[in-house]
Amino acid sequence: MSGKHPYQSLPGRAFWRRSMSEVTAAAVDPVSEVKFRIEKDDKIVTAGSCFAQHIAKRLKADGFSFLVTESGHPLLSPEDAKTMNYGVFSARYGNIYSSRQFLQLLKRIDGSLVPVEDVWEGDGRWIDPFRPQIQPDGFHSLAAYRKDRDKHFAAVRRAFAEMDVFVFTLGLTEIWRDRRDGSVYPLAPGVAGGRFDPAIHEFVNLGVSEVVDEMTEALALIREINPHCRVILTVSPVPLMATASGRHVLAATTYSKAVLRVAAEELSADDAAICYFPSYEIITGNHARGAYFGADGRSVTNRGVDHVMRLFFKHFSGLERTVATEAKMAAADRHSAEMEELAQANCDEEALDRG
Amino acid sequence: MDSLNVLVVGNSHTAALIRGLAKHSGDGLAHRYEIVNLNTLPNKSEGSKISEEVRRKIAALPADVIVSAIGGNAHNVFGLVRHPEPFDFVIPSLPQLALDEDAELLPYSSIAAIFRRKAELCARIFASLKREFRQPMIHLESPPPVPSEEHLRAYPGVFREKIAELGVAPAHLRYKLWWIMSDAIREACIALDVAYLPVPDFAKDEAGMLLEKFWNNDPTHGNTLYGALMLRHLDEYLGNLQRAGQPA
Repeated sequence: MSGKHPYQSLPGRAFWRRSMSEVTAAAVDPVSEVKFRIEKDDKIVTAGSCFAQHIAKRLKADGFSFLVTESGHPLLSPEDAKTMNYGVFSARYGNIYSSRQFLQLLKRIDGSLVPVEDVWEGDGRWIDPFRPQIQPDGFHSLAAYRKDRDKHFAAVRRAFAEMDVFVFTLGLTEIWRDRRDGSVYPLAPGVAGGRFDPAIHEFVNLGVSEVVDEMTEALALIREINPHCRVILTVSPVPLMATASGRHVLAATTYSKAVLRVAAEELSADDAAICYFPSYEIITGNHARGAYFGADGRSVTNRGVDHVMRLFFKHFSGLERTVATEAKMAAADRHSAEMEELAQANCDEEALDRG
Repeated sequence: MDSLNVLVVGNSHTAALIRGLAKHSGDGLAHRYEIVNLNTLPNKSEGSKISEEVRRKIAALPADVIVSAIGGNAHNVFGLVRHPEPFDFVIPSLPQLALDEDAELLPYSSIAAIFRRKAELCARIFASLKREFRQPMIHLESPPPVPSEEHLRAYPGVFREKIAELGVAPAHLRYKLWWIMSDAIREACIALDVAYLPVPDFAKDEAGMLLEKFWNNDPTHGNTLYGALMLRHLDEYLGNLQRAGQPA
């Protein structure tokens, strides 16, 4: 005879059978209560790893107020502007993979950090070590690089000052650090510019406490200029393109994502203005049986992004969109759209596996 | 050598040629010239081809050679007046040209793409002419830009208000835009087997811009003397082709 126990009063979401086994994959909803709502006129800024690009794209497509403070020159065609990474994120910072890279950006825009290795020069081109693929073929002169970077910093400051909601996608724990001043690079020097020097550049794999500390400091800096902004943290479901940890890339991915997932939990646990959104779980969960990844097992398909964003809109804005509506919307050319999406997800780590 | 009937068709740049022909008629030209400013016709083109009215007009005129002075002002759209968001670019084959470091530097490929699209419009008209007429075709390069800001401010023409508001674009940028437009038109001509006749060097200064004696009292065209010069240049070019035994 069983007595009362703590599980009796729990909602269906607490039980695997009721919330996973007995529902269709598309109906799985691992989002619990969110801490705040997003209105259509709330200005949203996104940053993070390449999965964050999908979020930005869908926010724009669904009529949310995606704040862009750094636009391309009016003479640039939309295609060229996109190639130059305008509009991919709110400002032209490119992919921000790690907590340390994010913290570093915040310190650079307020002038409290000036990295030792501030520019890479080669073949008459100047490359931003911290946005190495932002400008196709690099900048034509040092002055042009500096001018663009000043404009970029001003745009980042404006984005963070004006935003109502900040969506940050944590991507990686593996970083390459300059031993001289601790600056970190989104890509190892030598991959897309610069020259790798083992005496200067070292590999670091961040742990939970480092990610939590760095994000805490970064978010505190943001709140200094924007005390009321709400923050949504997500973890990118996209596996590592390559690892320098010495482990198998799958094991390294698991470590990295586990660290980021725990860090996100800690960061959001006791802060009413920080909410964790489980895009990682939606894409990688057992319900999807891998179907939300493309043939390479790494790229996230449009269908997966649909699921993530349907739940995002449902919980943060009350915007209900049924699975059937989505299917209808996408029926016109699902395959082409997915192929385009896959082809265009702009991850600079692709450079790691060239040649 | 036979004297050829040369039919020149074009837009605003034909005005200088018409004046040049009138002022210097019989001034040693070996060939006979008829010049039609398409802008004076009510209906120049129908979509991407010449209009029936233009076709009939050309067909009614004697012509051994058709010469185009079509278009040639796209560079002024982008670079006569200082852009509200100043820009500049580096032409890879001319890296020595001045660069405005205070302007936003745009990739050469982006600017080249803009002018390739503009050149496609001309190319469609060229193709339309070639479909309708069997005569050989030559395209005249448009005049290089006037280097003097003072001159452009003194004769701003339709750009008066814009120049007053935003100023004149730097001369080196105006030259680059003219060069890149000419390059795109030249490429289109090559693809369509249309001969391309560049402005002779002796009409240009050291920077490749239009010599002062050819400036018109407007910001974008050559004057009567320039028109006469280009006709002589064309005349000699045709003569050289004849001497070489080539069809025009």
